[in-house]
Amino acid sequence: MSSDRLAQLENQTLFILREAAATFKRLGMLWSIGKDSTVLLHLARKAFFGRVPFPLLHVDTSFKIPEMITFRDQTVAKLQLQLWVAQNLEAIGQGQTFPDGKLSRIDCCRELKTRPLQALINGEGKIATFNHQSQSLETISHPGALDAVILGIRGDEEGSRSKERVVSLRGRDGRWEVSAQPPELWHFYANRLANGNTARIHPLINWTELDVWEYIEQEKIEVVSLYFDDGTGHRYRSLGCAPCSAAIVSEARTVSDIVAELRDGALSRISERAGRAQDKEGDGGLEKLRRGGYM
Amino acid sequence: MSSRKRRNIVVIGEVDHGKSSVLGRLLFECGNVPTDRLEQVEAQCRSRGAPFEYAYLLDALAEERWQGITIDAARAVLRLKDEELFFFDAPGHADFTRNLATGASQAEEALVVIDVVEGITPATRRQLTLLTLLALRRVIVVLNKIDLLTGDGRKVEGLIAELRNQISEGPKLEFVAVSAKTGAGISKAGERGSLLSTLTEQGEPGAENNVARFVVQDVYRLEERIVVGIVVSGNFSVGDEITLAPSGRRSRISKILSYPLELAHAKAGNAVGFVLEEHIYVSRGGVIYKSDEVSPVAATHVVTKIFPLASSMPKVGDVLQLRIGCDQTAATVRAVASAGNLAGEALCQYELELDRAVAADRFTTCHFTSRVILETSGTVVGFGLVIDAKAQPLAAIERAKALRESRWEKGLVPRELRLEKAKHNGGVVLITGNHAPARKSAAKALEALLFAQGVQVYYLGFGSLRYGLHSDLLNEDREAAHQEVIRRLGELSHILIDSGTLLIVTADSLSQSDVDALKVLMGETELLSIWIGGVCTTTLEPTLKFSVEEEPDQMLNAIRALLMQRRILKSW
Repeated sequence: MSSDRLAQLENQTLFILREAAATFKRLGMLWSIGKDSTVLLHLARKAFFGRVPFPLLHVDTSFKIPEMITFRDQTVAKLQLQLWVAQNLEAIGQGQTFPDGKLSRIDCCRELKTRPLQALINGEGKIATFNHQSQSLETISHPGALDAVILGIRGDEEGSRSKERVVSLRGRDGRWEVSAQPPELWHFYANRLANGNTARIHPLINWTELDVWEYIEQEKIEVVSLYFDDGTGHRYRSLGCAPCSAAIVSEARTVSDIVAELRDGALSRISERAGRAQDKEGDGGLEKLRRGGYM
Repeated sequence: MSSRKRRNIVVIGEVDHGKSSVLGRLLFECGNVPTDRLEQVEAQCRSRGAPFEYAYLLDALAEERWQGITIDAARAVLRLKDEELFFFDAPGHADFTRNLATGASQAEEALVVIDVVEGITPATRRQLTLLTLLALRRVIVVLNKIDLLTGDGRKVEGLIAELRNQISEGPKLEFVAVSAKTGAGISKAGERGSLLSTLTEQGEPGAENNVARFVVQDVYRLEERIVVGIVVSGNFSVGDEITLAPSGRRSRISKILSYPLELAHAKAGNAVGFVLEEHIYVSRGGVIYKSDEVSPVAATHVVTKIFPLASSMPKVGDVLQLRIGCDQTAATVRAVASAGNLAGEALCQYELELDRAVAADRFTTCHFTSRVILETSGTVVGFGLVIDAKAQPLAAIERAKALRESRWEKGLVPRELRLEKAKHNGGVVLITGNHAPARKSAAKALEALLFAQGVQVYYLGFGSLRYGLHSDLLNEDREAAHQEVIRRLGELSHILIDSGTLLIVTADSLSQSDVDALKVLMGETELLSIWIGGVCTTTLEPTLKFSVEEEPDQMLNAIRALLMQRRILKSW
């Protein structure tokens, strides 16, 4: 039997996903290969009875940990999903990145993540899609702009995310006018796009990190192996680009080890993104990024 | 597996009365603030030369910390042994009432923080007014800053008496006295009457709605046709006889799907899919209820109690969008009044005439289907509750008919002369039902039979109008266009009846409300409604009803007899 709380969260998320599909014609769902968006993928399959009626979007900075890319391609092939991959090839090619020493961490996030995300939404440039016959990526011109993107962010991850609406309307530049957000009453989410606006939809906004892991345990959802200790006494708690994501000291080898560690153990008093270096730049680094359209 | 329950609690109060501080202190005392987060806030305070404030643990935006106020509601979790308290820390400033409402609408309980020195302010009153619309299960008043009181307990007692006096609606108020600054009354272990111990005591259970309601979000055409949505109150089981509001179509639940499972029952809160036995037309916004239970109103007029969120609110005669359940329709404001309330800060009462019927309940029947928001040009201008809903579907159509009659230009040939020549009256035989081939073959046979008898008769398949008369409605939502389609059929029938023609129309699964609208437009006695098919899948009470297997001759004879009885045909 599932607990009241997880059932309540699952139902709310299914409701939001179905509202999104009923409201917006051209949808996509951002998939970072991390645990949250992998849970969201599982919930999308539930909401739409086994098929996912929109493409999964992956912003590939080229600095992702290799296991993530392998897990991505295997999952897409196994579940017969549509995958669109976007990259800022220009910045990567010219070495305009933090690992190349040319940008600060935050500017690197903006160039390699926010910009390709916004291009994906606006239908600009080329993308790669997963070809199920050849089992590989192929480059195509962008199939067209999107009305709305579903993202797996959670309110307990970080301060500015705790302020997000379920549906957040954005202009073409993706900017978030956080101090001027319209009200969102009950289940009445914004459903009208005017002036080229797009929508960001956050079905996991009321989930916590512990909820996500307990749900993974309950539903036996497969997640990338980087979250578990591989015998080195280290594991990742939050996944991002290799140069900016630090593994934590932990011997959790299974999902239930992780749940125990988060609930009463060593991690119950350390925040999840403590290993994500970009959050620590300046006063509210991630907030600044997010106001600029970062996920 | 964890069975911790979650309670959603909004924290409200006047600006500077200490909402974020009380909540920040509570989280801190309970060990729910990550150590790195605490260090981060301490470092930020140091770098700006500001003293540490517990509120900064919640005021997440840089802008909020600089200004020392909360701008938008923040989420924060307090994890206890057996349950989880999920807080929405709402802003107190009047400019951000929309954000307060956003947070409060997600909660079932509220903490109202009041500075004991400053007491109850107009903003606090306004917020308490807002709470009455949300009908929360539990309201705890947190009297903050008791460290500033100098040995005068009467001040606190006076405040409690004043609040008890002012708030008559909603749950009984509970009171806690604290100081976020010193930590007094927040969470000391075993301290009776502390904020934490009060929170963890079970309040009285809220009133649950029992009437079964399923709000339709969408219909998926997969291997089966799946009606998806959410059970918002009561419960449903496989085999239940159900009706869809506002259309009045009927069917039975044959499967309840919760991918990858099939369920026997669904209860309040479940987001599931229904497969229906009879394929009735269902669209987003409809509400499914059990046929033997109280139905939602197929409302065309609603009276709503609204909390205004815009500086300029719609006036009488203005058109706005009403959203209710998963439905929405344009609506015209017919009256606006102040609803009167405890604070003098007016809630408004809006009377609206809707462009199209929607399913609506009163709050005591079902919360979800009684909540509304009002929008103009895509902006939310108010939210509230339906306090009265009426089904007057014919009001608009009657007005239109009166206008048409007053302006109708008659020719020189009176109706009586036509009757004398044709030996019969004009009329409409409306053949409906859920079996298209049976409907059509009966209608065509009747046309041929009557024509052979010299009757001026004409067969019209309703669907034939789609690309001609109704071509402008091709892109419209079927449910939204339905009323207009029926109106046009009524007007067309009126003209043909006036010309002395007997019209035979076939149409899919019309309901009693469709037939009522047609009768207004063409005349009561001139319309015969006939259902051909299995179980009647709409509210229609037809003049005649046949099964698909009925002998054609018997059917035609029965229809002929009825036409004679109605004096549409004079002789045979």
